[in-house]
Amino acid sequence: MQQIDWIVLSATLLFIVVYGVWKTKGSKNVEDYILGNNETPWWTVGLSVMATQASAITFLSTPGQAYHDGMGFVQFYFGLPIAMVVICYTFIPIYHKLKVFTAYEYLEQRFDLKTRSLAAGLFLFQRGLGTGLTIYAPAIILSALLGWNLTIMNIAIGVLVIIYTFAGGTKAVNVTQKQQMFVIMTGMFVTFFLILHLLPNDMTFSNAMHIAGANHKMDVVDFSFDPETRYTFWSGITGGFFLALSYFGTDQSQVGRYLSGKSVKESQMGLIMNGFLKVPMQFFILLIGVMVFVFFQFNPVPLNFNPNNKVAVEHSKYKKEYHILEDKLDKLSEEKKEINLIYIDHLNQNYDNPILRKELVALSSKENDLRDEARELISKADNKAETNDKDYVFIHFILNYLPKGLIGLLLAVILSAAMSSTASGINALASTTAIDIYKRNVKGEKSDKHFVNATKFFTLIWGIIAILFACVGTLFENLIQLVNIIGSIFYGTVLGIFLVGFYIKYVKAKAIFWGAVMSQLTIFYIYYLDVVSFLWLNFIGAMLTIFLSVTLQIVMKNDKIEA
Amino acid sequence: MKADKTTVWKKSYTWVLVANAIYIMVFCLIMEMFS
Repeated sequence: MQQIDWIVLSATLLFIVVYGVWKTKGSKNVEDYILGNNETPWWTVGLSVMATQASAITFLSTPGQAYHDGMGFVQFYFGLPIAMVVICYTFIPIYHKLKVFTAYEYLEQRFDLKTRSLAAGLFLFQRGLGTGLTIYAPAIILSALLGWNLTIMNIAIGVLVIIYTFAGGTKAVNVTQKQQMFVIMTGMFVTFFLILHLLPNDMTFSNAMHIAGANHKMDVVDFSFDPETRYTFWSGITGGFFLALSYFGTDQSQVGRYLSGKSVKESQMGLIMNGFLKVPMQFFILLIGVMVFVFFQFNPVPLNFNPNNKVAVEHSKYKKEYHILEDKLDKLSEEKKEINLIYIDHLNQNYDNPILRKELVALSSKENDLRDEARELISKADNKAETNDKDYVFIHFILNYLPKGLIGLLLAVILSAAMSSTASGINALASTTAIDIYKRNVKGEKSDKHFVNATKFFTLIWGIIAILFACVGTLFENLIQLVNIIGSIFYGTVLGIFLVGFYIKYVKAKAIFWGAVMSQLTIFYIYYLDVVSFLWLNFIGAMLTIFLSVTLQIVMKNDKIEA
Repeated sequence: MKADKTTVWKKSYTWVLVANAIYIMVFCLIMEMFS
């Protein structure tokens, strides 16, 4: 990192924080602080929803995912536009009509306090852990590569977010997310064109796409029913749909964004905008990863992109074997480079040589074998090491090949993304704690100012909890997996409660509460038995809640008739 | 009046879904051309 990078990074982040505080200072009432006074236009709602979902891991992991497995991951987002339409058609009009501050407030009006508290409690537990992770995940990767102190990074990201979220509430989150999305998209576009510029001179964009295609990186849609394949068209349309429905429809960090819309229509337009732009955005981020792959067909590539893994092997008895593998990879890279250059030459003469394509596939397969052998050595050297290096591919490229100044901008992209999702998380946790727990249980008449101060206080507390959780993140093995599992375990039940509330008027409070409790316990048991991938727990949880609550309602009604 | 409004929205959402499906297909076809 050069001085210019530090200037770009600090100036970008400080500008966002100062602008957020200055633009939104002095919230007078709860409506202003939690709902942004319902003044947000649709495009700010849309950008805010997108920025909330786009965490730092999106920009670190997704290009790495494309580098290793190609464009197929985009299928996971195919169900998202359908979920947006369902939310616009059903969820938003009800939330607006009831003038709720949080999604869970609706549940008391439809069912009872017990059900509201259950859903709010499940949200607080799950989002409380998740928000800590949005700080920890980029911090651990950047500290590994740049040698920065992990604790200081966690505290710095957390404090910057707390400053403006505390000062301006929802309005500050929305305003800063516009700037953050601008920084993110500028950084990603500049990087994309720079990668193309760094490719060999006689290589066109079309040639680069052909090279990616020859290495099976451009296979987007997979219609197979193979349960071993995680991302298929079918899992995207079903699993992706249910995940998007629960995340955008019932998670307060997202509901809070569109509840601040000027009107029902503005909130709906914001979500439709998200539905339209999310898939192209993911296509674009994955395409950057694919272009990084093409770039490394002509440049030296490490055996494992995580520098900590190399350090672990270097300090073990497997050092020599690892060096042998590195030499083999260097020779293979040279061979690949030569064949790729001949392949480009043929492409420039309008001939897509099938023999060379086959050779490229064979060389890629050899490279993958070498990487697998390297992973085995890393595991032998340190059995706790995370050998999957996809989170480190893009950042390795940024730090080693981008020019001065641009490294600072790209780090600002990653930290902006971390800050935007952390801010939404803290803001939602504080709103839910203040409205669904504190306001609902506090005795006596309290002024509006009192509840603004209470929400501010909870913002500070949740911010500190998120930082503390990020600081002890290293104590947990595979933290990302842990938080994803926790999300899948709880999201389904919460979604089931909301779906019953919206669509099955027949089911009443007692049936939904006990149906949800039984469904949650069953999900715990299914997870314990380990019979399905955790990605399906969300769908199963929602269906179980619906089925059990309807059954209980029928049984209870029959009991009443017999009595 | 309310029924008309609902029909208009239903139609708009159908178009939103159709438009989404079309451009996703176009993206996929472009990518598949190189695979």
